[in-house]
Amino acid sequence: MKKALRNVYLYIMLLFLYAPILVLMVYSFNASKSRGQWGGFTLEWYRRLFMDSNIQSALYYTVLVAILATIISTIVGTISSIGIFLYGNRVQKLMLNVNYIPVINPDIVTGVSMMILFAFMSMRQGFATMLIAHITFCIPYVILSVLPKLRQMDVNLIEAAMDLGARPMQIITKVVLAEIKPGIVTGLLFAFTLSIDDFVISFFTTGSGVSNLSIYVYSMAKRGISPEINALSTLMILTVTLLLFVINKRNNKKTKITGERI
Amino acid sequence: MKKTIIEARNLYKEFDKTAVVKHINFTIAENEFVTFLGPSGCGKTTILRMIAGFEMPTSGEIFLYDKVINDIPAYLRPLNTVFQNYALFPHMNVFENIAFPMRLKKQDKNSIGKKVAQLLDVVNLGGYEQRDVSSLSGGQQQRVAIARALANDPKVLLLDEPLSALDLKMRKEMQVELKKIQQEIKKTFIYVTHDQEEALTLSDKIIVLNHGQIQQSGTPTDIYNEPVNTFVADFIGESNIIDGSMTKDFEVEFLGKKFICVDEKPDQQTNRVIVVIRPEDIEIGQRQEHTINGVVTSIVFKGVHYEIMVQCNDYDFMVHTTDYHEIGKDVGLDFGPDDIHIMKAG
Ligand SMILES: Nc1ncnc2c1ncn2[C@@H]1O[C@H](COP(=O)(O)OP(=O)(O)OP(=O)(O)O)[C@@H](O)[C@H]1O
Ligand SMILES: [Mg+2]
Repeated sequence: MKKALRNVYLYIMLLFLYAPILVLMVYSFNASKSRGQWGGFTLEWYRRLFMDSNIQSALYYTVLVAILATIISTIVGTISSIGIFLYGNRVQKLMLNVNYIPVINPDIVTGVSMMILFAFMSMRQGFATMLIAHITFCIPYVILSVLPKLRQMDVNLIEAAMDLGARPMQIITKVVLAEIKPGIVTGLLFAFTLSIDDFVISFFTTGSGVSNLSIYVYSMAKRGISPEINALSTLMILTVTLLLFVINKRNNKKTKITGERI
Repeated sequence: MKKTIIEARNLYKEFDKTAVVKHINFTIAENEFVTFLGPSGCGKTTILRMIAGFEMPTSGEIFLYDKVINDIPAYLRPLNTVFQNYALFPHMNVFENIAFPMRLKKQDKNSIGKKVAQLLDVVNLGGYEQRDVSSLSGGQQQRVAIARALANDPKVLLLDEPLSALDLKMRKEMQVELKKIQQEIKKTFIYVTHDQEEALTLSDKIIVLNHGQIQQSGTPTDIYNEPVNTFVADFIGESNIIDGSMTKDFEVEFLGKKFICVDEKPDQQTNRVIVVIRPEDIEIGQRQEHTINGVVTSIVFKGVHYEIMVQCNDYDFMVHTTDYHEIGKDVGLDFGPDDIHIMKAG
């Protein structure tokens, strides 16, 4: 009885969480334009989606920004982590805390402040500013995934490598990078997911003519919700879910391996 | 006389203004197995790390043959280290770990393969090439670490308590193995341990340290039989350490009895001396005119011998003997002239 209650509670909670998304997904296949009724199954909205040149341009910007921001923030974040790591324990802890501030900062604050910064530097808002903004908000997540891996690393490995004839640069490329690779990949996936996912910061830092998918959905929605939005949103949800699934799978695998070592 | 390979002159190291290694001098000959032995915190690891190049001496020189190597970075020194926690690269398998130093030197694939197989043979791990290092036991990881450290044909192998993470049985096995490896490859081993038994078993030469200073250096036999001070006597093996007095050479008085000894009076300023007697050198038996008399207070069987505590008036002697003496029995203790070691008091 108690168990049954517990299960019911769980299912109600999951229903609340996922009902809106489910409804949206179902409606993306609805042949009727009106939201109130079911007009039969169709893929029409998806077809239209892929015909729409505005959407294609938005998709292009989304993916391009995501790829560039991911690559650059992963490289910068990894190098920064190694730099922070070399400072020693006190600086590491301080930097980890400083690094948290952008992470917990509301997106809107980050977005507005970047907009103000770009205006202050008289930069014309557009693709470049959006890219810079994405790189900026991705870097802390890369550091959050890489720095703990460095701190977990056995420092004797560095001395062992040096002892065996590795020069400082070789120590980093042949030992340190290999040791922290799982952290780098996690950071990379994080960065990609966040960049694809972002609306608020992009909205404040892009300019006319350059919009990503989420901005495009927003502007479409202002004109009234069309079933195309449902289709587009469904695809976005699936992409992000897939990425999160991959990240989680990797994390689980990692803990299993370290678990075995202990 | 063997050629000196490593020499320290006036070697001094401080951390945060605290002296850890205090102006020490030592020489290590080619193909010698030398052990730094001392209690925890006496500076053994620091000395080894200065030789390896991980730590810079505050002053003094370290020589390799006749060249000062103070300013040569660790990765250019022809010395390799076996770390206490092995420090194997977890993302590489056994083969890759051992091949790592050769890969850095860009040796060709064939000779790397041959060398790895040969090294695995030396450490008795033939056929383990493809194993994941995390799947190996502590003793096996230790062997891989030794093989890896030998891959570059170092002139000297440095080992910092390499066996301390192993259980007792494994440790004994590895001691034998290590000695065998050292004799097989004919290289200089510099070994660090706080385990006196290990040092006595393995070494050609032992350097006993305390508080960053060398107390005594010599062969295991010398150090065991002729400790120069009470620290060494107490640290190496068990010892009875008793206050005594000498009024002339070759005769010492302690606990109210006079004994003949082989030492001269060590200090002309005072009659006071310290007498050191090993438990296994004591003859225990009937009370006699010249013996020190006491009562057995405990007897413990130690495998080969009994360890007996004998309470004499002012002093509890530890005696090792194969004879049984029951608790409460009156006994007399006797000492041969060779077995009484005289040290300066103070
Ligand atoms: N990097 C360092 N910074 C400050 N003090 C240090 C450092 N390394 C060692 N010490 C100090 O130097 C002293 C000697 O240390 P060392 O590690 O050489 O001792 P050890 O003889 O190897 O001891 P153990 O048997 O415990 O390993 C210790 O008091 C230690 O605290
Ligand atoms: Mg040590």
